[in-house]
Amino acid sequence: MSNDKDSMNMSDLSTALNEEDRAGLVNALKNKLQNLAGQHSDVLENLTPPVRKRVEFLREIQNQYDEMEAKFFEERAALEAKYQKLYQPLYTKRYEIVNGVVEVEGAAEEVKSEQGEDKSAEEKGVPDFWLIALKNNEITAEEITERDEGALKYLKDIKWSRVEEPKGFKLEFFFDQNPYFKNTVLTKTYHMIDEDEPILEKALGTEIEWYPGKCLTQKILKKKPKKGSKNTKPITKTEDCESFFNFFSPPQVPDDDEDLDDDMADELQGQMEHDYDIGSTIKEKIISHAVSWFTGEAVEADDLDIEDDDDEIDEDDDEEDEEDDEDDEEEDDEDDDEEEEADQGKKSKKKSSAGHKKAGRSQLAEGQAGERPPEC
Amino acid sequence: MSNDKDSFNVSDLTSALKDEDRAGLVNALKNKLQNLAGQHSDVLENLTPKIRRRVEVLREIQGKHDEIETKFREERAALEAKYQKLYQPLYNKRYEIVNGATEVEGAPEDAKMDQGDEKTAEEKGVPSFWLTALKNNDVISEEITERDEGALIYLKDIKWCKIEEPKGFKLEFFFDQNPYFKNTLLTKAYHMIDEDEPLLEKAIGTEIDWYPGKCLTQKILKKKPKKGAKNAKPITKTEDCESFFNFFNPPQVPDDDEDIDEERAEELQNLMEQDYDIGSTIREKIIPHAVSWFTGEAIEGEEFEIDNDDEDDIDEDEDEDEEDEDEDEEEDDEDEEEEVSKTKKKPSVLHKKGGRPQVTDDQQGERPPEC
Repeated sequence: MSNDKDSMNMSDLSTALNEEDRAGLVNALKNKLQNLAGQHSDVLENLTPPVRKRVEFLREIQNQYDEMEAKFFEERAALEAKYQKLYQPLYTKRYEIVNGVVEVEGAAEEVKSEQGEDKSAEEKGVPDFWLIALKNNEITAEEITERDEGALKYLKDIKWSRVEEPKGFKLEFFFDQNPYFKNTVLTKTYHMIDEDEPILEKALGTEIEWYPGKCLTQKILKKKPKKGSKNTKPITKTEDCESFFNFFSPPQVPDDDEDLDDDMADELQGQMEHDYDIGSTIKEKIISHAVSWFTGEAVEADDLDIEDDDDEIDEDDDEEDEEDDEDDEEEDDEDDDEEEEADQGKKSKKKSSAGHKKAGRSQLAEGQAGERPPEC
Repeated sequence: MSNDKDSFNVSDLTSALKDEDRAGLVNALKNKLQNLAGQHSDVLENLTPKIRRRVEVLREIQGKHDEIETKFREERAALEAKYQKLYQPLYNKRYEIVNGATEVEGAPEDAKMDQGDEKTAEEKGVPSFWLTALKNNDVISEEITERDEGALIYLKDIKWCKIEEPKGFKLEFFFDQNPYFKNTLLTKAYHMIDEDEPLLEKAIGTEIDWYPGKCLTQKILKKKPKKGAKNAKPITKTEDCESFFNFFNPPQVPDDDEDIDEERAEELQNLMEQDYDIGSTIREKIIPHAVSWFTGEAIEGEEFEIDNDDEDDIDEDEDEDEEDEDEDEEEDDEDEEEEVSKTKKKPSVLHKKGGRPQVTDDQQGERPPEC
């Protein structure tokens, strides 16, 4: 009986298939059915034979879908890679101008017309470009302390690339030689569990080789020895403190995590989410639109100094004269502007925070990161 | 001086450009520069002329990047639409089988072999398909109460589609005629602020026409009148309670939100985030992989009953003979099983989306009481 049934099922599956890889698919389905029977027998065993038959057919349809979806993932990844390749020459040009490797036309002539500014003539590229870009984004700005700014002046480029095994992406921060740490490249790598959605498995960062007394993630406390004690040397103690550079020491799940209680697990969860938000913000916003963040054009929700008079005229000009793409972008900008004006002119800032999911999340994460290091 | 400078800048821009739409681009850059000067004068005004010049060229480069990015988004949207179109025939077949509109080959023969089960022969399609699929997903199952299940048995399809104006997407839940509510279609629409990332502006749901006494989002409390009171009728009071169908009445930002204090704003934020998580889970997981959720194959983080004996090992070895795609899937499964075998805590920490409802649970002080 059982054998006959299996045989019948096989013949039914065979007649149902028209594709070239019928044999392969039959075996695949057979094995999957065995896996299913072993792992989720509760669902199928409770079904009547006709319903079970229908479910088997549904699983066949699901497999066809999954194959198509896999092709979609491949095509989408290829499309993304194609455009990343197109962006690279522009990123390279940006790097060259920001760091003074290449001088733009017209800048030299201006020097002649302003001979009095010797210091100006000596300044290379665009100083503090990345520092300002990062400070203009509210998510990354929250991480940067005043002490950090001295080191971030030496930041000369940020890049991201995909990591294939395991799936994820890597951020690279390129620094000039500087008095704070020896490394010229600091990296942050995110390993994802699933290709299709941002479920984080692990994050790794470069170990920073700080020069003596220059560590920005710790502050030094000195205590004078008590009078009359044998030891007359001052006691030196280090304490962790807030710093952008904590980004390179991301929170980790302990190897033996049975010791984690619910509260600690929730806190760790919040910290990891927050860390991933910072990384994805840098990858998706800062790197691709660094100039707009530097100039402040990309600042939207934070910008409270909106001039309502002449801007409208400018926007009208944009609408009427430019290409369709420009119109689309301007329309989006106008919508955003209107929302901002409505929010800021009439109501409170609260609505903006409620509406902006990502911006709000960092606040949420902060609330949960009870062990956040104290201010330096 | 100022006039000469402007003229000078424009001529420089002109000589720097080689694109066909030079004139258009020049005007665009000029206008953008004016906007920039008007809106963010603090940055540029603090720069020396030489550096300002470099920033102008940088902005030109950024403009080119933004154009390429726009094309990328168009191509990506077209690719997504192409595949959604390819998926539709499979979704239709699924619908027909689940609802008994089409009978699969071989099923009638099974019926003959079971002549004793007359009730079985009458059962159409795959009963409780969507209810079971939803209950097997840990984000969705938290929303479904026992009372809800009676209504969700009548759910016969879920679809999603993009909305263009305003940008976003819509979920459609198709119900058979049922004793709970009149609607045969319940919808949930999400309006997004930005096309490229999930910033939620507003969520809107269908108003449900409940039949009398059948509302699943409220429970009825009856109090007996005090003895000797004039009014002899029992007092009836309704109270909100947990239900999957609260999904169609999503949290809204009040029109006059100056009255919201900081704590309430955060609470509202969390409610909206959780609501969006439910919607995106249905759109991205349940709809495309409904069969896998129904059978339980899609359950990963929650599956603790792993058979480690010979059968599974042999099966997996055999799978190695199959296509590469299967191998990839199996490898992923193996990794996940290893993680699960360690402790329950780790998945909750690692799975970002899965963990979020727990976070919001803790903070939702005003969550309706159990029915």
